[in-house]
Amino acid sequence: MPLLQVSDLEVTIAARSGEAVKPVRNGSFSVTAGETLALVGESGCGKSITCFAVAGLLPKRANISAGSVMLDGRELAVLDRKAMRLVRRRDIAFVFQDATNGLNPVKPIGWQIAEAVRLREGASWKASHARALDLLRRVGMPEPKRRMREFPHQLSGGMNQRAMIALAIAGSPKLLIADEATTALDVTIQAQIMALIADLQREIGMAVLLVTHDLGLVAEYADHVAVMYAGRVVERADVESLFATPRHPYARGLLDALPRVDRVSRELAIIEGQVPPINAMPAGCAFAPRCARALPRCRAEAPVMLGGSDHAFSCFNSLPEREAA
Amino acid sequence: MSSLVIEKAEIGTPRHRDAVSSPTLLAAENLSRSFVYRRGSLLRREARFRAVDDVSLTLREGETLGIVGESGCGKSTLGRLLSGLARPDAGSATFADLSLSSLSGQAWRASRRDIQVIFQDTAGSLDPRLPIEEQVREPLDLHAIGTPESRVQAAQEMLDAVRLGRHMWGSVPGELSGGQQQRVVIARALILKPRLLVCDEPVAALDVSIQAQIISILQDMRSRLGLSMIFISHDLGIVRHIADHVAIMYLGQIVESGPSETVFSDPAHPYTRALISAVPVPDPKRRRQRRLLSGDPPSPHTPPPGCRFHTRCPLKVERCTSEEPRLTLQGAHGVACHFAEVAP
Repeated sequence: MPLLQVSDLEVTIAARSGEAVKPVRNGSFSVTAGETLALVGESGCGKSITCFAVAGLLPKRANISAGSVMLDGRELAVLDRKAMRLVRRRDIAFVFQDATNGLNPVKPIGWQIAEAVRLREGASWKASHARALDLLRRVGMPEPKRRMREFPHQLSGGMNQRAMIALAIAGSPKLLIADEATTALDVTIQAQIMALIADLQREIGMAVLLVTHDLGLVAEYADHVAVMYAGRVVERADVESLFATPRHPYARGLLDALPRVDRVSRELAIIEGQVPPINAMPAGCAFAPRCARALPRCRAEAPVMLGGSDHAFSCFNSLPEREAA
Repeated sequence: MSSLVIEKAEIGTPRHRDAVSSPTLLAAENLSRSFVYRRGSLLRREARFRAVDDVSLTLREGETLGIVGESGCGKSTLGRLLSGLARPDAGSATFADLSLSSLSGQAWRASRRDIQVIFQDTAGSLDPRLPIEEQVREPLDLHAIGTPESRVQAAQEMLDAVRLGRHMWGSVPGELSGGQQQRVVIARALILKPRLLVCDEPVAALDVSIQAQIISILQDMRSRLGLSMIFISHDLGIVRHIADHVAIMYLGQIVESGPSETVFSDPAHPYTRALISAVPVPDPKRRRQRRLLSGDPPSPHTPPPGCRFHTRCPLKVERCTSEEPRLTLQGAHGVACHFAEVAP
């Protein structure tokens, strides 16, 4: 049984004008303990909102209007804020893109991590500080003793990201949500942070929900992938099938638009146009206006997920399963 | 500090054979630029650091040079020096027989016809209240080129060329997406038909599909106008895709330079190797054992003595901590590393 099972998730935001928009519709995916699911797509596709919904961090005007979020057999979609807070304390940890904003600017790093340990384990001041130092060592913080007393603004972006991960794993969470956790970092630091997350994952068996727009990261670290477009999961597969034989034209387009460092690329494929704004979704398939394979039917009718549980996609004119070599 | 001097580092040979003999468009010699990071007072000396330290390079007509490095390595400052937007403390940049470092007033303004720059932050480069058609026409008005009618026509043709539809011409920048804004910026930069376009992280803020659109427009315009380009980016994949030559920077210095193909397929400097190895490759069948660099880059305020990379280098020996390696050339390929020197 998967650790996290999200089914038909729908998020509604009440706009000031009284209208309601739905940035996430039809989000279904699951993550197994010890594995990594990557959630990919361009900005505005609903990746972050999906994660906020899972972690109970949706802003006030937004709520889960349909579907379910099951963590370890427990329904989270119905929990109130207070209950969700306890879930986040024990089971779900969140690492944001901007670590400097994820940390408290007026408390030393060590104090913040020790607080998380104290809240979870009820440990003494001294014991929790010792554990915080230990955690900072684990995440490869240089000079951990000194950093314990320093504030976020005194550390580099990479060090803040490490501190944030130390904070996240302080409670040995079952699920780590990394929302573009390494996007703002230089590649050499990104490689260190990703290796660290993978190590910890092996060690404590946590599941990772990796949100990124970087398909390179996905290929190297994910076990499964869910591709999102305009608030819907449009393709879901294990990482090898998705990269070898993407079935949805959007997934194919994303892969072909990528310049590669490991080889000379031919012309980059271009997906013309842009993601439609959430308050002006086209009828039918949301990708149809940008899709070279679109049929008349695509503009009229929204496709549903097809295919088995191991490789599913929502497209009326999907790419063939095996491409001619 | 000037151990990186090279005799006119020819940054490689172009990908297109016929361009080998094309004349030099831009030559930089021993460029340095420092900034104050702590003001001086009665009791305290002013503290400066060198953002760009003794950099020499050459760009030939029609070539694209990629400048790559991590944040804080000085690549943007180098771009500003090479485009004449900033003045060097030492060294010189010569653009088609024009010394960029000593231009004044009118001559500098005239040089803007030939050198244009685009940045990552498009909103900051555009006038928020001016319709984009006027925005693209403005450089022609300023330089008083052609008749009013021909300017309007030129602006419209340029907007077409960057694939912005007629229905958008009356829009102001706020009504456009980031990718569309970047196209307006490109159109405005190219309407003067410059000889050199300096692009500083032009696609870093954009999504992959939009990135590919912008890159293809740049390539298209490059061949249409015979542009030379300097392309500054932290994204090695994009640089490999677009640049004929590449220069890798670390803490203000060029540590490796040469034809893109050579540098990417056969990197010689340990930093270049680590950098390339750190880029995740979108192919799950090829998960590799990476060469992980440990630690953060040192602060550019106090670069380490000797080779600046020695604090993170897997090959470090005693000599690296004291003696600064020079950028030595083998053909078009230059490497600043003691180990690269001895290797055949």
